[in-house]
Amino acid sequence: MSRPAHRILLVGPWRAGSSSGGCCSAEPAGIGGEHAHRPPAEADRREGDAAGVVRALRSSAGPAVDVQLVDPRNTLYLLPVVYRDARTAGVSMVRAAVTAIRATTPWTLVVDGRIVSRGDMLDPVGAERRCSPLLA
Amino acid sequence: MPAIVIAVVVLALFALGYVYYSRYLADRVYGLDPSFVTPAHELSDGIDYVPTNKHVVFGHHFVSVAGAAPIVGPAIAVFWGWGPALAWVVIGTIFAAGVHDFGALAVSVRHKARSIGTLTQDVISRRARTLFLLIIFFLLTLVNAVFAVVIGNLLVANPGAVIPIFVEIPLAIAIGQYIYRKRSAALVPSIIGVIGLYLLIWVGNEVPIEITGLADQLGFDRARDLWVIILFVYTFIAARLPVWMLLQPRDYINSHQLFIALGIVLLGVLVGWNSVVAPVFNDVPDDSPSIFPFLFITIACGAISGFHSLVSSGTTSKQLDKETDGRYVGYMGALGEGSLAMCSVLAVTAGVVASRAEWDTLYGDFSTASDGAAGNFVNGVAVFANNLGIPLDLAVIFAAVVVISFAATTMDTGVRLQRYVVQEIATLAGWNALSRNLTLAGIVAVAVPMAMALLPGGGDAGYTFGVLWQLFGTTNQLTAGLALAVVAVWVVSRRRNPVAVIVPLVFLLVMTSWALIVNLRNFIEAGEWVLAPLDAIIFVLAMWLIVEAAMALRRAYTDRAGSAGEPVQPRLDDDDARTG
Repeated sequence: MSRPAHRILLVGPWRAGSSSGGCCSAEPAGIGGEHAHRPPAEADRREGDAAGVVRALRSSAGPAVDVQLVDPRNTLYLLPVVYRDARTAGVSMVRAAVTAIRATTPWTLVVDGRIVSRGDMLDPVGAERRCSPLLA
Repeated sequence: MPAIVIAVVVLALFALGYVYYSRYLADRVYGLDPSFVTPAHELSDGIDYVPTNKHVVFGHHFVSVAGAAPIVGPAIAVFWGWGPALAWVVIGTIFAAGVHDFGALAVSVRHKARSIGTLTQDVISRRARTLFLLIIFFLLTLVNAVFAVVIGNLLVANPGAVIPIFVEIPLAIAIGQYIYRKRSAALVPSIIGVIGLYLLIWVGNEVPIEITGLADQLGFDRARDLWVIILFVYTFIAARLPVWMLLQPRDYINSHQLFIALGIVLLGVLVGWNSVVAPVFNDVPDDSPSIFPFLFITIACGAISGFHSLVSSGTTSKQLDKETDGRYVGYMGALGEGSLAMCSVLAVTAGVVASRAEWDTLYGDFSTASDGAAGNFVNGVAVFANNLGIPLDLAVIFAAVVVISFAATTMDTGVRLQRYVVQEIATLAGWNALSRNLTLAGIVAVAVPMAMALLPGGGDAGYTFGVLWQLFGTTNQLTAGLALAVVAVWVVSRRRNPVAVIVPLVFLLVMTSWALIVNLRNFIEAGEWVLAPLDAIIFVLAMWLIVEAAMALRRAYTDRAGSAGEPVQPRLDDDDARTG
C-alpha cells in the first residue's frame, strides 16, 4: 500500500471516562449491560466534536490525504509517526522529537509532522483553514 | 541455551503465525471484507464510534490487554520445565489466543460492535447471558483475590517498593489533574511522573517500610494479610473516584512502564547473554499437579485470555476503519501478550538464578514455585536490568514497582467492573436494593475477593497460591470458551469452516473441566471447604457452557443445512449484506 501524499493527525480530547487497566480487566462497556453506562460521556461531549472535525477534513481533503483521529494517550502510535513525518519534512532530529512530544497535547492538529494548532478546540471550518496552506 | 536464542525463535514463530495463520483466519474462516461498512462508520458518534487507522487502534488495544497476568502464570508454569511452558505460550498464542482475540473482534464488528456479553445472549441464548455474568463474577472475584495476594507478597518481600507504590497514587492524581485541566502535552507530565516514581525507588530503598511487626501486634498470622486488607480498602475508595482522576493517569503511566520493562528484559537478555538454567522438562515431585491439565489453566493470559474478548468487543470494534484491519489489531494484540509471557519465562529461567541447583530450590515443589512466582519474576528482571548497569538492589525494587503497578491498576478496574456485574446479576435476580445501590454493590465487589484472599481454605497447610491462581485461570479460560463458542456459531452460520475455532474451544473446555474435577477431589480430601464449593460452582458453570455451546452449534448447523443452496441468511442483525 502506497503512503498517502499527506497525513493529518487530529489529537483528540482527553477522554474522561475511558481507561483500560491492563490484562484481566476491561471497560464496563465490555460486559454490555444496562449498568455499563459511562457517566462521563456527557463530559466527553463537552470536549468538542473531534470526530466531526475529522469527517470534515476527510471530506474536503480527499482520498490522497490520510486523516486520523488519535487519542492523546496513544503514544505508541503518535511518537514514531509524528517524529517520522517531521523528519521527512526536513526537520532536525531534536526538533522532530520535541514536535512528537508536543503532539500528545489534547486538541492538537498535525499536518505532515508540523503542528498547526495546539491545545485549542477546533471546529471543522477552523481546522480546514489551518490545514489548507500546507496541503496546497 | 542463551535466552536470547529462545527469544529470537519465539518471536520468529509469532511472525510466521501472523503472516500465515492470521491470513488464513481472515480469508477462509472469518471472511473479512475490505468494503464492509464498519460500525465506526455506520454509527460514528465522535465519542466511541470513530473510524481509526489500524496502527492507532493497535496502540490502544495492546496497552489495554497487556498487564500482570501474563507474567505470573508462566512464572508458575515453568515448574513443569521451560519447554512445556514456552510451548503452550507459543502454540496457545498462535492457535488459540489469536483465533479468540481476532474472532471476538470480527464477530463484534459484524454485529454493530456489540460486546461479547450481549452477543452471548443474541447468538447463543438468553440463558447464556446469565451464564456470562456468573462466569465474569467469579473471574473478577478471583482476579482481585490473586492480585491482592501477589501485591501483598511483593510488598512484604520488597519493603523498598512501599513508598514508590503509595506515592504513585497522589502522583497519578496530580498528573491527571494537570493534563485534564491544563490541556498540556500528555506525555511530558506522565514521563516526569515515571521519572519521579523511579527516583522514589531510591528513597524506598533507603527507607523500607516493613509492616511485619504491626501485623504481629494486630494478630495477623501473615503480614501479607494486613496488606490485603489495606489494598481492598484503598480499592474500594479508588473505584468510587471518577475514572479520569486516578485510574486513567495511572494506567497511562503504566503504559510507559510496560515498554520500559519490555525493553529492559530484551536488552538485558541481549547484553547479559544469560543462559537458561532451568530444565526443559522438570522432574517434579510425585504429589505435584500433573502437567495435563494443569499447565493449560496455569498459563491463561499469555496463551489465551477471555478478558481480551471484552476489550476486542468493548472498545476496539467500535474504532475499526476497515474490517480487514481486525487481523492486524486483534491477532497482533494476542502476539504482544504472548511476547510478555515469553519475557516472564526468560526472567524466571535465565535471570533469577545462575545455576540449576539454585533454580531447583525455587521450584522444588508446586507450593514453593507458585508462592514465589511473582518474586522470581521480579528478581529475574532485576538481573536483566543489572546487565544494563542498574544497581541490583534498585533494580529489584524497580521490577517490583512495575508488577505491583500493573496489578493494582487491574484491581482498581476489576472492582469497578465487578460493581456493574453485581448490579447486573441483582437486576436479573430482582434484587432491587442491590441493583440500584452502587455503594452496596461496591461492598460486595470488595468483600468477596477479600474473603477469598484472606480465608482461602482449610487443611493443615492451608492453600497454596497456585491453587487459587489455577481457579482464576479456569474461569478466565471459561470466559474465552464462551467467546469462542459465540465466534464458532457465527462462523458456522456464515457457512465457513469453523475447525480453527472449534479445536481451541474443545481443548479449553476439556482442560478446564478436567482440572476442575481433579481439584474438586483434592479439595474435598484436604477439607478445603471454601475452595471445594467454589470449584464445584465453577464446574457447574463449565458444564452449562458446554451444553449451551453444543446446542447453539447444533442449531447453527441445522439452520445451515436447512438453507442449503439458498443465499446465506444473516443471523440476527449480522450485517453480511451491508457493504459499501
